[in-house]
Amino acid sequence: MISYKITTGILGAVIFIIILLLVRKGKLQEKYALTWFAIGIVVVVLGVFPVILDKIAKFTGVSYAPALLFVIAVGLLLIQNLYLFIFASQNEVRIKELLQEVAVLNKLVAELRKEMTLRAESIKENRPGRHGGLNGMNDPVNDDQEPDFPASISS
Amino acid sequence: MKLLILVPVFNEWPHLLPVLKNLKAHFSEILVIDDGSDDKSYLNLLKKEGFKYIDIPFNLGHWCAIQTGFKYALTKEFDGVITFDGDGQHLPEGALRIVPGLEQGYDVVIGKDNDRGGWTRKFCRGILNRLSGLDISDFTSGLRGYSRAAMGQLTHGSFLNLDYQDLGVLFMAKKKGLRLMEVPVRMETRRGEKSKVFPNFASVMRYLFITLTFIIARRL
Repeated sequence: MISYKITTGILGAVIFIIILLLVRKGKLQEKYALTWFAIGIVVVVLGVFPVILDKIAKFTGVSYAPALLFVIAVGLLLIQNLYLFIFASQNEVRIKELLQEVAVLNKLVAELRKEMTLRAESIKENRPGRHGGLNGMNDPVNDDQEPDFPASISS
Repeated sequence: MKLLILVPVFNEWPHLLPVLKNLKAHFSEILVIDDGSDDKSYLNLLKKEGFKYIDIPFNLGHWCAIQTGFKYALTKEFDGVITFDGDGQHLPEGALRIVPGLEQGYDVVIGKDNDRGGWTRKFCRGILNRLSGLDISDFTSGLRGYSRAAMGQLTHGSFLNLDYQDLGVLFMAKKKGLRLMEVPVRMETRRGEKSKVFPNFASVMRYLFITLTFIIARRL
């Protein structure tokens, strides 16, 4: 049988390696690694020196030390969870704002295109002898065509 | 070479206009990127003064604002951009020294001022530089030139994960095979009271932690 200190040490090391790998692959942003590293450190420290937990339990008046461990663990997870909820709410608002903006932009681009084709046509009608309309505008755009503005940005 | 000057701005208004006017004397194409400033009314004044701007609805961070400028420059067929801080720290002469590097075909040209910052800054920079193996002495400099090729690469994938325009960008740019170069320039002390990226001690610690995690995760 191996010492429990080795078990918890390995557990902590595994947490660290997983976080580093996720950061390396770009799955986890560096700024979110902080809390996970903190958790890894707590696991290692409490695992290798369980005396600390006993001392804290005595100080806070908890008679059964492992119960304190669970209280701390649940507390930390609750904080993490709350943080994620706040984060999700913020993101939802931002996505809504972005979509509204994109929708308005799409509409504006469509209107501009329509205006341009109308102008190109009126110029053509006024000067029937000239071919091709405006300089460089040989291809007047169809009004009901989907504007490709967002697509051209992301490409 | 068709160059665009990108000026990312976050709550910078009183100092911004003289900076832009100085720039206008040397460069014809300037684009201000407002990164979700609290008071956006200054954008109307910019329009009146004849400056172009992009208005980002909320604060995305310095690097993300610059990427927005990259995407604009790419669609508008610019050959390169120069990023220039709006707080009066950078001088148009410095930006002019970036240009030859881009013309020689370098992808990322960094304007360095090694006398910048206190000894703690220099010390941290030295250590991070050594750890990363980058060999760029002033990697926090915001005065940089990017080629069209660099912009194309730096607006995708893992580059969207980054927060700061600093070591991480350079580290990954080098990994992608882009050519990096440093040019010495002179910088002023900024006109705003505080750094926008590092307003307090906690932000510095956060930065150090993020950068260290970045280096450790990629160098192990």
